[in-house]
Amino acid sequence: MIPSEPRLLPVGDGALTVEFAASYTPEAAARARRLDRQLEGIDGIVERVATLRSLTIHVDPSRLSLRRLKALLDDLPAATEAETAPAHWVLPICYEGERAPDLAELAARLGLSPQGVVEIHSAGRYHAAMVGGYPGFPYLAGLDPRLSAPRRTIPRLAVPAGSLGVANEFTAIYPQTVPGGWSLIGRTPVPLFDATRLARPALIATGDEVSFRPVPPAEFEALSAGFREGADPVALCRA
Amino acid sequence: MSAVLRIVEGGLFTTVQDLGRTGYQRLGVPPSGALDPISLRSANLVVGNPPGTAALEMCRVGCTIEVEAESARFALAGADVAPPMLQSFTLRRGEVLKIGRISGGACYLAVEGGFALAPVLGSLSTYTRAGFGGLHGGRVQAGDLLPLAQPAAASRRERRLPHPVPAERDRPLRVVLGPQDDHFSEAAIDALLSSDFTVTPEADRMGLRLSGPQLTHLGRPEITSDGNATGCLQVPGSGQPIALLPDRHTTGGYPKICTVITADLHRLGQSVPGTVLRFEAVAPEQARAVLTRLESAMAGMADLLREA
Repeated sequence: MIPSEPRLLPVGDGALTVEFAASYTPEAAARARRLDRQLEGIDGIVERVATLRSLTIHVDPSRLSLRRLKALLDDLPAATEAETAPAHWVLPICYEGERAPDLAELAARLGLSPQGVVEIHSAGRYHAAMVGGYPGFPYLAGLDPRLSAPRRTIPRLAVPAGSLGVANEFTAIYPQTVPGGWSLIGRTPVPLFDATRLARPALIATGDEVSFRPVPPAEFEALSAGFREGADPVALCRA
Repeated sequence: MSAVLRIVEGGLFTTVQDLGRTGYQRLGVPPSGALDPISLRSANLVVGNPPGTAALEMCRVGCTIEVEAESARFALAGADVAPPMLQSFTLRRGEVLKIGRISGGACYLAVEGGFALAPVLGSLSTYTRAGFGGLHGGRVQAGDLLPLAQPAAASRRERRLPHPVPAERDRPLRVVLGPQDDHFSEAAIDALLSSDFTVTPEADRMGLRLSGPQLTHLGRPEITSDGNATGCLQVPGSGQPIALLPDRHTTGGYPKICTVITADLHRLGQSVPGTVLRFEAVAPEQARAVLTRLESAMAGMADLLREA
């Protein structure tokens, strides 16, 4: 039995969302991850996606109906298992120049100096509350409230891969060059997603811990070159 | 000498697709895969492949290919094109196949034996946004060489199917309301289930923007992101829904008013700009019954195969 009545929302006949809260809370996200682990290896469940507040369970509807899935959820024992120690990644970030195109504007809006924003941001320790949207895109919780600002009113059509953004209560890194509306305050040379990196296509998984290490442009360039030549970010960025 | 298909013209949007990748949405990777999985499976059936073998998915305008192999056997299924549909045919080295205009959404070109490509995250499906899968992570273009798994067509008679899988083509698309139908008024739900929605030109493998009556939200037109599924109709602030297709985001922050059922996703995937869609609400249990019928019709197709 799942405690304290989450809502069960059908997503067609092929998925069910178990909703623990209407908005992000660390507790709702943790409950989603606990349920995710409990459902590992159940026949007919083909995908499980833990989000900021829910778990979406995709089934093969010809093998497992949503009705049977609901019955199965009812019969689950309460999750007591503690979370296994998450991975901790330290990512180099260049918070300067063209790699931080929105830093000055964001600092002005927040009533801080650009240097102040960088100091607060790079001192934080973050937690991947969700990976979603694009391959390997982590929503990192733990942003200092002094850095919280809404998304840009006009999103960019192309945010360069590696860009570090902030929006509302999260900070995130864009693994690919895609459209996006977060304020960009830095960039990492680390390839966060590589479909051919078999052991770990997405560097950061839901539940992981992340910190940032400011690096000057020259070090950013040197690290970029290293990754292009095949340096392994899994080995280099593990804390 | 290697066996390849040389792409002479790429067509409008031609990609390698199979039935999609499973298990990586937790990393933000969409399922991708055929817009019309029933037609993909039908084309594979005719050439004698396992149902999920990767084929070329062509949208609106098909490709032109030249056979650079001893021979190769093909079959087409899905939206209509000039060459014969649902019927296998074999071309020899140097022969050219031009697909041309496609009347409808997606047409599939399956080749006996499939392509000699390495799967990425368990699938040959192309996901162009992040540039992986398929031939080189992108659309198939003039000059590309697509390696074949088989050097020559097997020696056997050609086969055909007398008709496509019966698919209730004129019926509204069946949807299950939710997961966020409670974010909309009763009037908005009524409008959803009683109106025509037209597919706009903003349509790709991620989704179809629809135009119809405004579906007004009760509160703010956003939610804290939760899980998406293919077939969800998300409704942004404009009140005009977007139907999500296989290259969709894994999670999203717009309320999803309803979700097209699995058995009708292949019909949604055949929609093109100008297609008029209507929606009909069913319970998940009914959706399952419809899927059982579709799958048994699909299983029955194997018995309908005839020598051409």
